[in-house]
Amino acid sequence: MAEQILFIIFGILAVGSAICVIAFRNPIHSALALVLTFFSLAGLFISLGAYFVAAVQVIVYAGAIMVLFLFVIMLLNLGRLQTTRQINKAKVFAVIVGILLAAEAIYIGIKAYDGTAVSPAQGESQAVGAAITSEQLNRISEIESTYHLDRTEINSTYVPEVSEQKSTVETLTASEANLLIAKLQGEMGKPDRIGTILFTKFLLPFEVTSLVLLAALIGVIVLVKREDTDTAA
Amino acid sequence: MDLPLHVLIISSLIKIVVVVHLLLIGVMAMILAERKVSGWIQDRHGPNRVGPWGILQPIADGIKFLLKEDLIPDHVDKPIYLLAPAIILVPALVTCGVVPFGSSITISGYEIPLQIADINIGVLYILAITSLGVYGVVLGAWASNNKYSLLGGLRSSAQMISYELTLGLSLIGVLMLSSSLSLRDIAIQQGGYPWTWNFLIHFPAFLAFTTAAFAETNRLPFDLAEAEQELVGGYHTEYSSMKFAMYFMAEYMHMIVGSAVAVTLFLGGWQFFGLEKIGGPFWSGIISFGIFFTKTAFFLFVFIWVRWTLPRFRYDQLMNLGWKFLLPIALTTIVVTGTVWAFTQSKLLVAILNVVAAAIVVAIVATTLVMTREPEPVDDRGVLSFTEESSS
Repeated sequence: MAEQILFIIFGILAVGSAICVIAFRNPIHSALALVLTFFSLAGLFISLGAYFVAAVQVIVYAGAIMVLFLFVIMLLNLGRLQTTRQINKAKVFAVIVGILLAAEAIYIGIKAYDGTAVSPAQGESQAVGAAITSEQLNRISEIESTYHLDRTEINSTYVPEVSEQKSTVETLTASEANLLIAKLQGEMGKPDRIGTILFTKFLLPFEVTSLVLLAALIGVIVLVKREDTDTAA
Repeated sequence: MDLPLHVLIISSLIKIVVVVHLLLIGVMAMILAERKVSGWIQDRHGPNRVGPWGILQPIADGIKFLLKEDLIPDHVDKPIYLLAPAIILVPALVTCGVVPFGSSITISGYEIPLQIADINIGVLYILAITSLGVYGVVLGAWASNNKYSLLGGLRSSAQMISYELTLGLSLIGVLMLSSSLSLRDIAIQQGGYPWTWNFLIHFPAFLAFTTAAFAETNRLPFDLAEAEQELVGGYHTEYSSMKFAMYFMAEYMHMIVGSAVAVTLFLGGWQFFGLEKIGGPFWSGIISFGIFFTKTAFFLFVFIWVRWTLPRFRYDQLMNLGWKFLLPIALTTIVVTGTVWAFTQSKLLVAILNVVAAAIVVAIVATTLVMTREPEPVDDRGVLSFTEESSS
């Protein structure tokens, strides 16, 4: 229930502020609306139990990138160009791509809704005492494979936290299984777990991303240096 | 952590109300302390007319702020101009949500931790919120639509961005040894005795963190953003009455919260020679809070002390200090702490080698700076250097 309320609040904020980004005519106002969008996204991450991602979202986007954006807008914007047009020649393509993406989102939403996706919030409407469903078992093994957990660890550490007498996943009721899934998801949002899977399962993508960032850094230095020698010469 | 939901909610609400009011009262106390200590340092009396020993001075100041005419100049960008003072106050207020200000207190069988929220990303949360502090300054500066304000805002944001990096990096060594991001865990792990606290194990990191914290609060010797002689009032030139007071309060709140965080991370939090364990489950909580309060107060005194002792930096000195000294020191502590800890697991060795390595780095940087210095310095050529035009 709490997750749903948070989702609705942050969802409305995110969409509303995203619309403001393209509706405001003053670039500074647009940039601020974008900051609000990032905050709402961080809020959505928190409601999903992904605290680490939420913190990184705020540090990287709201704290670093948008500050630089504001900086640049302020320096380029002194006195002139108080408002800008928000529409340019790419509007036809923008509309087409927008419609495509919206259709995609709606299609996937409908498919997920009538399907059997189990979310912790949905589980509360299920009958009390019903046995654990196969979807929930699938979800648990999915978490296991993503985060390198094994069943014995879940059975010994997390199952007793959900239901004191039980010691295996299979004996749980459906509502207890939902609690377990929520607990596991919260546990996996912790920074040490994320660090572990980043440096084991996702090592290659992680290193490739680092290389891309390094290339950008070198690019910045090269560009700045070249300008420097030009003016000196 | 096994509190029933209603106890959790009620105790959290009480804690939030208490902490926010403590912060506001702390701001008042700091305003008085600042004036008293400055008087003491400069060998004069300080405020002594309002109430006994002048202790009602902050109330008089507050009433003056409230009753002054609230001017909104014509040329400002109104929504952002009004929003900026609030934006600068929020980061200071929300940071205190994760700072543990005592061990725990037992009331009618429930053990209530003296901390609003012990989240498992505590340090990251603090860094995230700190990085937002710059918005209040930048937006206030821009919205004022005034050249002095904008120059002050640009100076201050360049400064805050530069020192934020040091602030974050200097904590990595601490986090490596504590292997936790929760402020409560880090505080408890340091133990009760001053020689086991983090400020000795990570002494260079502690210095770098403290200096960066000074810079983040925009106080002397880092107050170039509001250098009166050059920029009138800097980013709050156009603000009057309570809006100016909000900037003013935010500065003090940042100081208080920064001190509390430094005490938690480097000075053992609420622990002091086992004193915090004296008394029953109720009184030990109160005593632990007292210890934390005293340590924070000491740190705040250092803030005031430095302000009235050191003169303001020049802009190029400020950038040199941040980028050429503090940042390399912070990076060195990461390398040294990581290497030593991986091979020896000895905190003593970490402590000694950290200091040695930091000294070597400072020596190298200082030598390089002296060697490459141009014969006639002063004419600073930094991209964001405004000293030339504003001082003429």
